[in-house]
Amino acid sequence: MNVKEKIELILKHIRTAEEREEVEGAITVLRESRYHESGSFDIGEILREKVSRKIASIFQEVIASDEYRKDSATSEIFFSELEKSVRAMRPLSITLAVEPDEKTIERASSWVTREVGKDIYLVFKRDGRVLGGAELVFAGRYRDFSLAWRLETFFWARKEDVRSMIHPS
Amino acid sequence: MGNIIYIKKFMEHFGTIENIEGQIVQVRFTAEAPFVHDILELEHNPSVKMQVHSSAGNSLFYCLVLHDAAEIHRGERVMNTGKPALIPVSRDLAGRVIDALGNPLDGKGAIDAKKSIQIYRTSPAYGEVSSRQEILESGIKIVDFFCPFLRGGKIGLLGGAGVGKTVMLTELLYNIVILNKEKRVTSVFAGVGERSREGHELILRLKDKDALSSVCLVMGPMGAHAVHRWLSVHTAISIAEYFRDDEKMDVLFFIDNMFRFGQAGNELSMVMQTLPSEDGYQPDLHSEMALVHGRLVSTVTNALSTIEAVYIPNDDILDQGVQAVVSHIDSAVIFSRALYQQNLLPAVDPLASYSSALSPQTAGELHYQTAREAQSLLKKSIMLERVVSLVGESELSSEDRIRYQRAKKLRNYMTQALHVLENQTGITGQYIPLQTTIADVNKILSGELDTIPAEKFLYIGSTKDL
Amino acid sequence: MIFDFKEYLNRTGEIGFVSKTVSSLIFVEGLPGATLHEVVVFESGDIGEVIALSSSVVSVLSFSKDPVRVGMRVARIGKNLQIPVGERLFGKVINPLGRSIDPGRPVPSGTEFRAIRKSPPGIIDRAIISEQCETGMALIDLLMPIGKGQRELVLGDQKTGKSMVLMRTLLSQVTQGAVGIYAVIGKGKIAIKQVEETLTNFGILDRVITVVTSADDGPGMMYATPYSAMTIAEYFRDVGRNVVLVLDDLSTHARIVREIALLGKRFPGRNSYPGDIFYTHASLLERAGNFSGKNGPVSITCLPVAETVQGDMTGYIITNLMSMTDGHLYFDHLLFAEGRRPAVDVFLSVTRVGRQTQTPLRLEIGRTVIPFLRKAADFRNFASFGSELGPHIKDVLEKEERLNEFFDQTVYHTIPGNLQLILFGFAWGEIWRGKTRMEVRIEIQKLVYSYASDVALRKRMDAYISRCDSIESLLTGLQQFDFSKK
Repeated sequence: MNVKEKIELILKHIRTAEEREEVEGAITVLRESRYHESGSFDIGEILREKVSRKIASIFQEVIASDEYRKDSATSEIFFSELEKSVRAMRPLSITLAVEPDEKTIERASSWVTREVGKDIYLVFKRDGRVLGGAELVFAGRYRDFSLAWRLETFFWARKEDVRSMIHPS
Repeated sequence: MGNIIYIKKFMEHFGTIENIEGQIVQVRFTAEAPFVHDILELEHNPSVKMQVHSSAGNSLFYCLVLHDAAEIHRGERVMNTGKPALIPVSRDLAGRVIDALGNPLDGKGAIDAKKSIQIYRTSPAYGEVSSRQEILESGIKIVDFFCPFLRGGKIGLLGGAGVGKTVMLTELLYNIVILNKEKRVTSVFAGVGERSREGHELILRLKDKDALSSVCLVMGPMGAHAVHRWLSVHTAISIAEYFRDDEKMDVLFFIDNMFRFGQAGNELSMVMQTLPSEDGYQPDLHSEMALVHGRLVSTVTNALSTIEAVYIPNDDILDQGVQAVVSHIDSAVIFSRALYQQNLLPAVDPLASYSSALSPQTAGELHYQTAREAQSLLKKSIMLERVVSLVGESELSSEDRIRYQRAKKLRNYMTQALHVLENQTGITGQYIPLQTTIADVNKILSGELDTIPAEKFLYIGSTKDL
Repeated sequence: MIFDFKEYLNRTGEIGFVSKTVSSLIFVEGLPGATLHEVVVFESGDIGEVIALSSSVVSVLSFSKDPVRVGMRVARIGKNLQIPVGERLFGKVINPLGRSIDPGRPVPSGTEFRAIRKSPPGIIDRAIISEQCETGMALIDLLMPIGKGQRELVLGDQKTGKSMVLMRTLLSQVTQGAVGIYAVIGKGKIAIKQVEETLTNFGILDRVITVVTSADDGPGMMYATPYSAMTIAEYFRDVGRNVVLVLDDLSTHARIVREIALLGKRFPGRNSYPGDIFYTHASLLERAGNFSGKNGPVSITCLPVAETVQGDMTGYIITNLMSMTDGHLYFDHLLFAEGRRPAVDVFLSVTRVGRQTQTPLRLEIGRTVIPFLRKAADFRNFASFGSELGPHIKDVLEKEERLNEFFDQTVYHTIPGNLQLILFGFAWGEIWRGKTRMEVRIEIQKLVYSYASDVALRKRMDAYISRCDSIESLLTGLQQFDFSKK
């Protein structure tokens, strides 16, 4: 894999804001640890305490231990490119009534990656008032697909009907 | 293949709006950079135009929006027309009232243009500039006598708020343009940063006296945005140049008021975050003033005389906005608030005012000597005034008493009823020829009129009226 | 106008987040389609106006006095700030957004709204000022007249009687059919109440609209006050009614403009004011004037107030305002201390377009009396040396006293124009010569009473005045005029 492919693979696994933060943390740790004394060089071990298993295994997949240690120039290029790409990712905020489970995250993320773009990560927020559906915010633009809004407009359009039910004339 | 090249070239001329504050926007041009003064048009609404003013940073440009309250938002695209602002000109501009962009304001329809000219131009070459020296009579005693107007030169009317600058400027316009009806003279009047009411009254007055047809008025009143006020000066000067060079006429250029031009430039530069210079003005104030004054010159073929009112903010004549103008004028009529409050109108200070025309070569020996004598008398009387206010006139020596009285008569003689104030005061205005004034002053100085009390000299025309 | 935050979020499809707040200046990220001067609504329901747009942030001037929380969501309205205008505002005390500050007297809903930001009308829409705007005070009406459509600056230290003169002018004009608008900019609540009380006592509250902000309403609201007031004035002008607009006061307004500019990190100019402070006020005052309407000229007469400190007229803002307005009435604290009401110094006051509205008789009075008062003042200085006063000088000083008694309107709020002339004739001529001040006062009282109560007498007096075109004709006829009841 060349650098570009490696980066793309890592980005693919960044679905949420939390995961993005983890990856940024991982980059910092790995960068620094290049300058430490010898000892067994296990990326998994280095990352184990800092990031989740999933993220750690991605990095392990992408970086072969030896090449990582030996050629610091290449690895520096790799890390700075990766960092730039991660920083350039744009957030799509999704407000739901409940905390999303893993399945929801996966479905939402893959839909976005497929239909919209690979450089977008999701920021999940929780607000019970939404009731259902979602409120979306992206780059200052706002779309309300919430159940609460639907209900409001639904009833507003039918207020005469509701009135006549309570006060039959 | 040709289409692709065309599209590519087309794309190069587009910029994107990034910042908007007041009438100034910042536009980013990543492909081809525009020239300063290029006119840009909003892509989705080409009637909204802006003018490139200066660089704001890497590929970023400050641009002046030429239309009020345009609805622009960030990210909109603008197209560079590649051309600077042009105004339509022709002989028919005389008698019309236009704004800074050449649009008619008098409801008489579009300007029938012979051609279009740029509003930013350079001054004539060295060899073309004329240095002829001749007095242009104004009919106002105190001006003609102490600070006479140089034909083809520049006269500044300097004063604070409410001391009579605009009144005097209007009177000069009236006397020189309406009364004298100088041959083949066209006037350009630039109303920069002044009251709309005054502009309106001026137009009515010109119409009333049948003089509007020889005046072109360019209006950028105080209620207009700084962009318009600033541009109106350039437009007005360009029209004056057109009349001077293309139509080969002598031109009278009036501007009320030149200080507001500096102020408008200051407002623009404030938004463009330039570091402020002395008194808070824009750093290029002096060069801006030099540029416009350099264009207002006479050529060897035609005279261009400039009469500019200069407002003094806070009554502080050392203000940089004022000083930037002072270095370019030949005659300065300095107004005094103290004289205004004493009701000695026009409230001009005869000792602070000056003119380069007051020299033996230009004004003649008689005028020059009389003026010198008059000024020294007035200077002496200031010292005498101090004594009088403390111990009374009777304590002066008989010689000094005569001097004191003559000085008072001279000061009172210099008051004058102006035509443009007739409907406020009810007194008929008067035009007094320079020769009469000189003769009268000599009479006062020589002692011929010593027996007549000083109050009798107030608001007379000439000594014949005594 | 209540703004439903949620509704606007959905309607415009754009959202912003407050990233920084500096007093009334709110910096918002997002809102890509925002335009200059557009209104935005915060999640809290407060609103603000967009004053600048940069690539990263939208600068908003908030109209709320409460601070806005960082992170709060913001929505665009899609429109510039508009306020309700119309007859429904009469008798109400409103804030610059058009909401009544007294919940017990709400503004009835209506259909007319106008944007508060507007360019002043051009030259072609103007008309020459030709009608006098009577204030009801003889000192002003005769010696320092104001015309309808004039902008006359009301200048003086605090507590020099400016407010009373403004109120009386409103009284005089409103009873003649004009619309009165009083804008209070950033004053204490007690001062605002006093304005309302005076208008009520004068019986004109129902024909006046009061637009107010108190000092704790926040800079954003205070800044908007004169613009809202002017907008309401323009509505009435456009339906053919003359308006008298008081802006109290613009020196306070200037300080607020300065505060907002400095907080927004604008480079300070003279006295730390922003470089466009002149334009800020000029573009406002140029919206007043005399205009050619469908059925003849119609005017917005504007009386902006500026406070001086220790009588200093040379301040930066003061001289700015003087060069925008058509004259100024200067209130002197010494005259006020002497008991003169109004405490206007006619030597230091100016009216640039008032005299052209006067009849020949009034013009002559102004031209004669002011130099006379100047001479009398000189004599007074002379007299203070303790030297002997000749009979000529004594005459002049006596006449001056009679005139001052005539001009003193401590008691009378307004004196009708014709009655002013009759009283002047008495004070100026020989009829009252030799009377003491007390006696003169009683004579004035009798005449004021007769004029007000005896209709037939009033008609005869009015008719007589209309025949007089000079001081001489006024005085000769006065000797023979029969003032008794019929």
